[in-house]
Amino acid sequence: MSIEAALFSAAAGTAVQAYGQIQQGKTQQAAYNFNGQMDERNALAAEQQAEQIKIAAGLEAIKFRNQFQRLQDATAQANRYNGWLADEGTPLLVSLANATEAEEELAIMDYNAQLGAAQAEESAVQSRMSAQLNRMYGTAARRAGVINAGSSLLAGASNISYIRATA
Amino acid sequence: MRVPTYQTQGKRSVEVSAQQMSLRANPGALSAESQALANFGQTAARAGTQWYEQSLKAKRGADLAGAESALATELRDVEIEALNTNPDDVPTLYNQKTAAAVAQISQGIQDPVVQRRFRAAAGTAILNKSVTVYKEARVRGIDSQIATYDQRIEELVNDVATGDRATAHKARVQLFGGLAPDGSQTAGIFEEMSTAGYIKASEVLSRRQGAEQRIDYLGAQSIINGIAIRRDPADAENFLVTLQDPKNFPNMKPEKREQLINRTNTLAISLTRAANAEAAKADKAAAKELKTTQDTNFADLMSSVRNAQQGVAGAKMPTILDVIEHQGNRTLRAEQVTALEKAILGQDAPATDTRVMASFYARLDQAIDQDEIDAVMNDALKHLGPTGDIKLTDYLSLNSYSNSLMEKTPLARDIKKHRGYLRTAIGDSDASFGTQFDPEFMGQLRADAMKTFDELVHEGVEDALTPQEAYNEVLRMFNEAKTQQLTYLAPSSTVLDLIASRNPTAANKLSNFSKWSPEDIQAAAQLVSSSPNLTPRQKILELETLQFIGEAVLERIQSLDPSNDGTSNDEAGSGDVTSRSQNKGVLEQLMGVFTGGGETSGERLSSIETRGQ
Repeated sequence: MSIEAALFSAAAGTAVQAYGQIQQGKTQQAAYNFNGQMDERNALAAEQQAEQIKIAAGLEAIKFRNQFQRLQDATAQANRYNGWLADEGTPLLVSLANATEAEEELAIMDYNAQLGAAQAEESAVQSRMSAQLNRMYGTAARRAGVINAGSSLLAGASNISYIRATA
Repeated sequence: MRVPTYQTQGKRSVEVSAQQMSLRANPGALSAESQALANFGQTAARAGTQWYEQSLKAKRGADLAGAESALATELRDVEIEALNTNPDDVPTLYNQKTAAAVAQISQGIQDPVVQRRFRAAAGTAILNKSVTVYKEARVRGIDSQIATYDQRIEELVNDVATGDRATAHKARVQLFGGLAPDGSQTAGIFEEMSTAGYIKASEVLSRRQGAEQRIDYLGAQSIINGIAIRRDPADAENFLVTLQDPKNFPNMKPEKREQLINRTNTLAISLTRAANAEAAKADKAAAKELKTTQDTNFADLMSSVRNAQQGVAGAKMPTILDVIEHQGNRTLRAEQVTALEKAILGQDAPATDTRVMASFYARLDQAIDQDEIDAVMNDALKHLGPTGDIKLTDYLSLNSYSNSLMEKTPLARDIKKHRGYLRTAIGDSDASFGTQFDPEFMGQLRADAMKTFDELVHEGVEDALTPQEAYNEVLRMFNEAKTQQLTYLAPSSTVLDLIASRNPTAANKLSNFSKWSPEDIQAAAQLVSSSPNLTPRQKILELETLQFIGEAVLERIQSLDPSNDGTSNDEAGSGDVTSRSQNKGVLEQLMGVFTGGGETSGERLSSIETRGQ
């Protein structure tokens, strides 16, 4: 190999190295972008989950109310069957107690629904933040690739210059 | 009666329709592909970076190494160039050249990091190399200065040793210090060198002593050279005695004194031999002139007798008194006197025997030298007179013919031809021949060669060699002496063969005369004196050569003997040259082998030369 071929090989190798580093940055950026998009999607899913929790909690409350109504109806029927007046005495107390329990149950259900939705929303926020972070990673990786490429070119040129100067 | 009622039976569901989704996208898992891609890119970048780093390091290392190598080459070239540059100009040259080299090499480097590193490394390399280059330049600068001083010292030493009184005094003051002509106290040149840092203070004394020794040596050498130029053997003998007295030239080293004593001794012997040869030559010339005068007188008187007898007008018959007067003046030889007396008295032969005349002409034609011609003519004189068979007129014709043959004999021509060959072979006529040797040494050797040749072919000597033989022998001895740097001709091949036959295993060693022992010389002298293959003349010459070798051998042995180290100048120089140490015993024994003692070689040679006339 002649000295010119050796010099060309060194320069071409450096160029390939720089190109590879740029490509590496771009690829890493693409990967980080993908992950960001995935986080965005997860954020949407979490928000959707929160809504779904809320909807499900509403439906449960309706269902409970229906069930409790039927209980109240059955209780009123029984009282009436027994001849008891529902708006006085024990039947009233039982009815009030049941209503209180039902309300408490509804409150718990609502509380739980609110908590689940809040958790899902928090997860969505976290995913969105992760998406943003990944996009930042991607940008940084691309820039790092460019900088590394420049560094490699500079190092290659420096090496050749040093060799030319000292060999 | 109870009335029936309907009670709802159905139970409402407690569930909600919206659901939280837990589905989450994992960014890490989703970005795994991108992460993997980035990791892949990081790995690829790391691998590419490492490879790039290693490749760049390797390339830069190679570039830097190449540049440093190029710089090293340039630095080496600059260093070499600096060696041939004036030391004072070296810093400028080095700075300019290295800066140019760095700039040029840097221009070729594209990578600024490598360029910067190269400049840093180049600075260090140039600095390091500059230490070597500047140091070398400084050393050369100092060497140059010392060389200048040494040259000056040598000039001053020469002036002291050979200059006139005023010059010598002035030079001595400059050398050793003292009162200058203007009355000021002057330091010597050695103190000046020490002060300037060119020599250590401890060297001053040794250099002063060296200069004093050299002054004495050069002074003595100058005297010897003067003697060699004047060619007076008496001067040589006298100076030999002077040299042997350690009070003279007191600073001269004993070994130098020995060297000069040997040289003077050799010179004295050589000059004595030359003087003897000159005297012999003069005697020979005088004899030849006397013979020419005698022959001319004899021819003139005989012509007068013939003319008078033939009645030529105005011709006057010489008287017996005239002949006797010539005889008294030795301007006629005895046989000429006898022949003239017979002619004057009219005692001519009745007739000439043509066969006798023809035989004399034939003998003259066959004579190879002047001596044979003289012998023939002396023989012809016996055929004059009333009982003879050669008439006076015919004798005069024969005498005239013999005179025309003078200096034209084959031997005379052959000697002249081979003498010319020998002069060419030993470079006597070529100034550039043998310039790698000491001129004085070559001069002595050539002179000895020519002299030996003349002695070996000496005309009129019964044991003379032919010119060809003498030429071969002298040339071989000359080459051998030149190879071993002897100032005398080496022993002849005949002597070497004799020595080799005595001890074949040591023949190789004995071919180098410097390795001979006194026993070898004694044995060689015995062999020479008893050899039937050497003529008496050759024996004398070879024994003289052995004497020279013997002196050199004894000198070498003395120099190797540790007991001589403490010998003072007085002890070393005492006695004359022939009685010094054990020289006399060996040398006299050497000459005694042939002569039986008594005569010196010079006397012996002189007697032989006299015999040859």
